[in-house]
Amino acid sequence: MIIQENMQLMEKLSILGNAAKFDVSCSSSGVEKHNNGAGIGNSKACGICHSFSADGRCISLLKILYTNECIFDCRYCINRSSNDVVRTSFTPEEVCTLTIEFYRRNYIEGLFLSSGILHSPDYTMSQLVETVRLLRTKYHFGGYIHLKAIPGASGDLIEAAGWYADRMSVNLELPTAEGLKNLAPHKSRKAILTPMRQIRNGIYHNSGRPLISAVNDSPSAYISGSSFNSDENLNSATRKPDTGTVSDITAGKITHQKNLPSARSKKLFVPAGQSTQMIIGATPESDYHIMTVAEALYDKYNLKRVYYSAFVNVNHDDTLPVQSDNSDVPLLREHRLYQADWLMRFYGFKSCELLSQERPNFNVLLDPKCDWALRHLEHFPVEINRADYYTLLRVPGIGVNSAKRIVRARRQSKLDFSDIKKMGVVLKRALYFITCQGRMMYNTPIEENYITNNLIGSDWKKTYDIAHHNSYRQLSLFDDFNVSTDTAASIIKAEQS
Amino acid sequence: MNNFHDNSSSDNSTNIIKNIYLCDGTTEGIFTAIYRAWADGTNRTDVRIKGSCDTLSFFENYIETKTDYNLAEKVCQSIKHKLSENIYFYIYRASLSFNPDRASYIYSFLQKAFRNGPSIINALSDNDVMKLFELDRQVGREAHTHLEFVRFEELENGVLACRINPKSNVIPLITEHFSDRLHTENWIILDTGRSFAAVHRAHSAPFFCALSDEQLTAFSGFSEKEENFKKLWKTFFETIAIKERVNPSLQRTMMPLRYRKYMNAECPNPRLP
Repeated sequence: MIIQENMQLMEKLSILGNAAKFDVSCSSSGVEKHNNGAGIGNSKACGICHSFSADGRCISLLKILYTNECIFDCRYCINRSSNDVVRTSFTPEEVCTLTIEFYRRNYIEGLFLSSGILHSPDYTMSQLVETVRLLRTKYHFGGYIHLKAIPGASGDLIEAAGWYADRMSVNLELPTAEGLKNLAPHKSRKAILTPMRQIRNGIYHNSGRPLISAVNDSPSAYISGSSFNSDENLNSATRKPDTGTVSDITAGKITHQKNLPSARSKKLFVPAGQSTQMIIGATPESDYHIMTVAEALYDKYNLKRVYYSAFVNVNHDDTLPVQSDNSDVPLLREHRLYQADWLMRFYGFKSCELLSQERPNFNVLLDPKCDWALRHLEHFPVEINRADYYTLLRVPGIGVNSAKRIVRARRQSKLDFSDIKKMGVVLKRALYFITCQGRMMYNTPIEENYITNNLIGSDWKKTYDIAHHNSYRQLSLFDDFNVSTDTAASIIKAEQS
Repeated sequence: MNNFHDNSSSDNSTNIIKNIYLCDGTTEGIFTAIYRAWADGTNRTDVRIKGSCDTLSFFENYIETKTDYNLAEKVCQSIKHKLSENIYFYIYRASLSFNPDRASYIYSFLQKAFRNGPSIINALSDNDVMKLFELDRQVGREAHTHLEFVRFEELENGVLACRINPKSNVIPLITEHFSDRLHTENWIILDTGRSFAAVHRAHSAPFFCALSDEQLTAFSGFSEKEENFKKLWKTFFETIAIKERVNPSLQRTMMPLRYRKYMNAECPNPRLP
């Protein structure tokens, strides 16, 4: 292990920023805070991105590790103890200086602090707590702080961290306990779930209400039948009625809960909730398995977000999937999982509706919502001027915003295709599934093969771009999509007609 | 499909000349012209921004209006009281747009709104409502982008200076955010295209002002630390990208080049003087 003393701040930042880059979470949303009067900083519920890195991911927070020294040897991790890389640590003061000076210049929305395990989980966690304590009390920093809870750290330290941080997260790393045992022998499922449960309970006791309804970035909290409504013993007894009921939404009266009185008057424990992350493609779990795990996390742990991270074999470890070039990184799979995650959180879908034991993986050619719609053509066509909000949400090409706009506008006058197009409906997808005043847009049959071919025809360039983001190879329908000659012929036919 | 009263059909055949009230592009200017046009009492009126119509029409009578803050205030109050605060906010944001037809859009919306009442704002299928809605959305989006991508630079005297070059006049919309966030700092946000600035003195309320050419040149001479932190940020910006996932076109979509003019690390070209 190489340890360099007195390393310059610039080198440290470059090493510890590089070491943190595989942590996906970068959101700064979920909490609306005003300036505390003593220092700089506030926070917007919607979150603010401040830059986008060369890979197109948003940079919202100063995402760094406190140290990349680590006693653990996780196979997928760039900082594992058996890797021969330059090791270094920040001091709490250095982290504070960087955060404050970057924040003043509007480079960042706050700090994301994670760490390798130095000496022991408790020692590491105490360093993290000390850093954020300094930032909050000495520098009076009022911006966003996302802090990692170190699995295995004592409950007292997690508790202390929770009073300084806006959001906390513990990475689940892999969807199954078995995968974890194989790839991260020093971590255990129990050590990961313990702090997660503690944070959930802390949030619950602090707020007196289920966290998911705290701020408006989680409309699914209001959706009946969404995964959030399944009762959990812990919450059901004292769960307050949500302000936006079903009938309110259909009447177009969605009330955004901003600046709840309790949000300013008392001290808050992890006010922006907690999140987690799973690595996709390092172990052989199916999409269905991953989605059910995510759903359980949303249900049982009231998580704000589950992040999915396409596996990149940085260590070229033989026991992990081989990646000969960048197009082997499962980006399209990651994209589909995020789409499905959105469907569960904002559209009222359940994981069992999207996938099943028999169909455990997402269709590479179609997004999960189109895929669902094609398997449930009996629900279509939907009449734009009459269907309720949730039915509209299930139509491919109609999103949360456009569904709300339709509900708002149709009370004033009857809507036609040109009207809903202006409201943001993607007619290219929606036209097969809707009627306006009893008429479909074109004379299209409601028939699975026909619609599938047309939808794939209009979306395959986009799908290809995600899967092959930086290659300049000639497209081949047969190699890249595993399309059989039959489907190819029908796609070409559909394109021509 | 339109259930709303339109005034264009009830034509006065004896008078085919349309009165066009010209104003400067400010919110107050637009409101003044709207007041005058409304006071005209006929249907054949419109409001436009001076210089926005190059071709003059034979059937239009152009009347220049001088911004009158009292009249503008009256228009503002009647929108707030007879329609709603919410609608006023839509109109205010639309008036900050760069669209040369914004005055006309706002006027035709208001004509309809005063006849039909505040619920008109939900009638997104109506053309006049949709146009206002789009202006509002466009300005709102640009304002939000300027919360994201503006960069402050520390001058020798410790003042944080920020230059922006937005299409719409977003300064009034973003100032509140920064005066809350950077409450303890002295800062200035300058719109280089409009020579218009928001100035904030630590612990006090911000104010707006137009800057002279001489004052504009004062934006030079950065503090000693400044260069160092710029370099640190550039280092971080470059290391945080995962090279296996590099995707320049996605980056450009999320962060269009036109916003990067005054960004240091993200600017693909060396900065212009």
